Amino acid sequence: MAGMPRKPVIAVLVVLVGAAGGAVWWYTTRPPATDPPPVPAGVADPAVRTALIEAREGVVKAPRSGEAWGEYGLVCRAHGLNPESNACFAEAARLDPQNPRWPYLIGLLNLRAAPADAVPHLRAAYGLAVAPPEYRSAARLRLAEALQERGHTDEAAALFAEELRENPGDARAQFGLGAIPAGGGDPRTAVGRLEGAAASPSARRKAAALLAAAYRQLEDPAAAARWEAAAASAPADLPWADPFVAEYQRREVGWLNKERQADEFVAQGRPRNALPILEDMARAYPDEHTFFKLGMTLAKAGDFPRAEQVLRSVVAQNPNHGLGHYFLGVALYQQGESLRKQGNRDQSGGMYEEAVREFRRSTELRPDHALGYLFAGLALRTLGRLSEAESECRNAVRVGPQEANTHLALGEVLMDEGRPADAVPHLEEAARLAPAKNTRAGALLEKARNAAEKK
Amino acid sequence: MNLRSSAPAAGLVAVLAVLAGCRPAPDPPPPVPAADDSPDGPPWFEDVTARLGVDFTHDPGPTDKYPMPQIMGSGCAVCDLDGDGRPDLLFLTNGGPTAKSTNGLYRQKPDGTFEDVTAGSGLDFPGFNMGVAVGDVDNDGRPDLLITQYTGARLFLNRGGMKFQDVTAEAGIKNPLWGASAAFLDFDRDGWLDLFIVNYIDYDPNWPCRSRTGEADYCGPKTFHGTASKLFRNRGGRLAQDTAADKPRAAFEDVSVGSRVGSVPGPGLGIAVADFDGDGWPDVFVANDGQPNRLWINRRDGTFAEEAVPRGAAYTQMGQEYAGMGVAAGDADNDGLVDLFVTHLGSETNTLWRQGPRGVFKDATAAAGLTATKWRGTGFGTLMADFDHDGWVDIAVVNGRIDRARAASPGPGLSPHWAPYGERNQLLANTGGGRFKDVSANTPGFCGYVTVARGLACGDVDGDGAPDLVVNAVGEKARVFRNVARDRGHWVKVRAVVPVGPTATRDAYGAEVAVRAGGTRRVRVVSSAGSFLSASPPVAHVGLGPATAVEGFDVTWPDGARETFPGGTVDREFELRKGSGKKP
Repeated sequence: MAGMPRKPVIAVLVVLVGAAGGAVWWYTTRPPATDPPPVPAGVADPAVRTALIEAREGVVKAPRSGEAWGEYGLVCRAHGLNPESNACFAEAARLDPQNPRWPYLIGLLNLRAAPADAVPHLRAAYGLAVAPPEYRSAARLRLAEALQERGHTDEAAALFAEELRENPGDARAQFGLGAIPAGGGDPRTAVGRLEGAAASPSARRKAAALLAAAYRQLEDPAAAARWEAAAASAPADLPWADPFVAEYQRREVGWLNKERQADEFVAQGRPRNALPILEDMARAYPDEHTFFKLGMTLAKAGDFPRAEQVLRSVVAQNPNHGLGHYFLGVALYQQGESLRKQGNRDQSGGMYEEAVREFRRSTELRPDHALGYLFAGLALRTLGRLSEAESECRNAVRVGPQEANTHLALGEVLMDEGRPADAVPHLEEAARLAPAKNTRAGALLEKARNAAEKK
Repeated sequence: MNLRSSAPAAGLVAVLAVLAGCRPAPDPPPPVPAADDSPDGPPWFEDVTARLGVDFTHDPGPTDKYPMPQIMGSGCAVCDLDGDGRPDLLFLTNGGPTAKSTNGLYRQKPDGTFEDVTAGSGLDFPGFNMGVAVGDVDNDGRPDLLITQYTGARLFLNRGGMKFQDVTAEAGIKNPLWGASAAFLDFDRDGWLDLFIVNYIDYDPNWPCRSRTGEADYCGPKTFHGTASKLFRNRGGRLAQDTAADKPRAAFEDVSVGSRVGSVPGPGLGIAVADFDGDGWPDVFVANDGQPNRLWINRRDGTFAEEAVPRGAAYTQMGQEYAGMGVAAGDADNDGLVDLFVTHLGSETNTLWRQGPRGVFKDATAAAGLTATKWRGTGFGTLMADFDHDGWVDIAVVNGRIDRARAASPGPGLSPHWAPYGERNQLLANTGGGRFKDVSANTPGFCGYVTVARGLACGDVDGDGAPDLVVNAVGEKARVFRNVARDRGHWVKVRAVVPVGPTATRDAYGAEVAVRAGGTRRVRVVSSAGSFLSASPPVAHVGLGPATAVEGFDVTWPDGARETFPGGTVDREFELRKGSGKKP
């Protein structure tokens, strides 16, 4: 080499650089392979439509940008436009072949839409997802679960084990490694792994269920019963954390997104936090249902006068709104309770009477709504109309036998009627169904038994 | 970091990498060819609806408000209702109480075609009619009917001649909930059929649901609360002696609370009844929509214990609570134990829970090859039957989405409203040992059209010994599919009956019939319930493959008694009457 003339070397370099430059020029100026999918004409929510249009414009402005295509795909995916999102992700993957997001999201959708074409994409995503670690874990575990579902348990187990080596104690990997022997007739191996996953809020219920079955196979009825009770009492498992999924979830906008935010606050027992969202929604989407949800949430938040006002407008607009009548009844009943506690018997009686009318209207329209009968029974009991209260409570039990409160209310009415022996079976059922911390049914049951014995 | 690479930069890197002799970036996954829809075998079914004179069209009612009962559809029944030995057909409709449309009742004529006998039958009423159960509740030898509704249930006594009398109120049937599938069973073994109604959710018709893009669509079940199932005990035994002949001999009491069945809510849709734990008493499996399934184990004292979790039938192998819709009960692997196949959403997998040891279930979906179907649909009606008589039960599934697809699949007979919900049905052939292969492509008559199917029933409609299929779909013409599978094996049909009077007999619901032939013992449970909202004849149909003789029958009767019966030649129907066999 040392003796080579310099001119040929320079010439070779010039040719190479020229070729590279030509390739780059071709790559960056070639026509786009395809147009971005149009925003579907049927998109009704203006906020969703705006988000889609903006994301699509991003592609139009930079048709060779994988990021732009991916962004449009993510916005489509966030709103359930799956064929459109897959088309975008496919183009993003072509333009941006090192990015694991796009094959991952295609694979995720194909798991359901085109099962035969899911694992290759997930495998590709896992191959690309070298960092950050949470992306690598998500890609590995999703691939493992897809393989497990298809019966490729050895490869799935290897991936779960790999995850555990990198993240000791990972609940998702432990669950997967426990579920495989649980399904394969090896409960002894399964239980250790599953117990390691059972504390995770994303696996509490499912791990407990598999543990109950495993311990039954191991002929350990006490442990089986313990885990069965845990499965029955656990809240629904949260989805596993997935940074790929989170990317499209946080792009969701529109009515449904806002409603979900409000519902989450209500489910957490914080209805007051939901009110600003619902008030915003009432301005942006002033329809019957939004006002109904506002009225219902005001009632749940304890603002009964405002709830009454909003719900009166709902049932005036739609007299056949069964739940509207029910929650209006609740608002009136609770105001009656306040007045009664203040000693204002006349006004409270009027409130109860009106509440009963609303509850009865609600059950005419919704004969399957146990709470409508139950509250009618409670209001009638307060008014001293015991035979009517008994009838309503019996309807409540018929429609909602799984609810402790329906049995308890019937038992209480029967006690008021001087029929403790008749009350006993209902109070027994109430005590059986009631959560352990609720001792009211048990206390009343004891009273009823004593009274029945004396009679 | 590789999550943010830009296209031009990646292109330059790729070019330079090639020029430098480095390994290029990994190739994108190779395209997987579209599901192979080319047939690899003969068809099993052909559509003979028009030829048979069946012209029922399901009325889902007005579609502008997307009422949820509408998308859940209605069931159908195949049953010999007039006692002439030929199966008749009942199709339910759910256009609502004010609709002009009614259910459709079709009597089979001696020439195999059907006549519409709906008018004046007593079943000619509109409503949100969902499911149907068939069983002789008054022990007069005639099958009676229970029809579930959105917020209701109606009981009809069979008065003969395809006439039915509504005895709901007198009989004490009160179910103001959204009823779905239902089954008759003799849970207390007193010789009278009791009634189990699976209830769904406390749906509110004023609750609008929307897609994520804001368009109106049907609600999913998670918007509402599940409701509890109902169990009604037949008090017929007590009333039979003192009831005048012209009055209904059906009286039930609601024992939902006392039996514990009412203590756990749904949302339930599908049902299967069998003695799962082998103690001689009928148990009940309920498929729940998005909640763990229930397995009600009969405690032999009038109560049930819910044991789906410890017995492995509540969740899938991944611990998922899928959207259970229809249930097919059958012995997929000929081990003498009843397995359960449950249909789910297209975004999930249908699941096969294999039983073994007795009373314990395992998710065997992947092992059975059922995760490798050519496509996934949202499954509703499903059943297991040996369509090709090779000695192994196959699976039929009818599909149809519950939420609107972005890309509609237009199909003949589907209105524009329903096109985005349409999917194709599926047939899964048991290739032996309980492994299944998707053979849908072979039978375009049943699987090649797009539909929103719900009800599916099965019976030997044309009397040739092979199971035919009957489908009720949302807003479409009902269809009857004749079994045309070539080179079918041998078969037997077994009616197991119990005497209920000097001459009358009743189908022995809950009996377990084992057919011994060709060195194999195949077990069937006598039941009419199953699939989705539908009822099929309570006849044990068994494909025998090449076996040319039946060695014998073993029957475990609903009261636990056991008898054996001699066998005989194949390709015919046997009637086994309780008390006429030998004690084993």
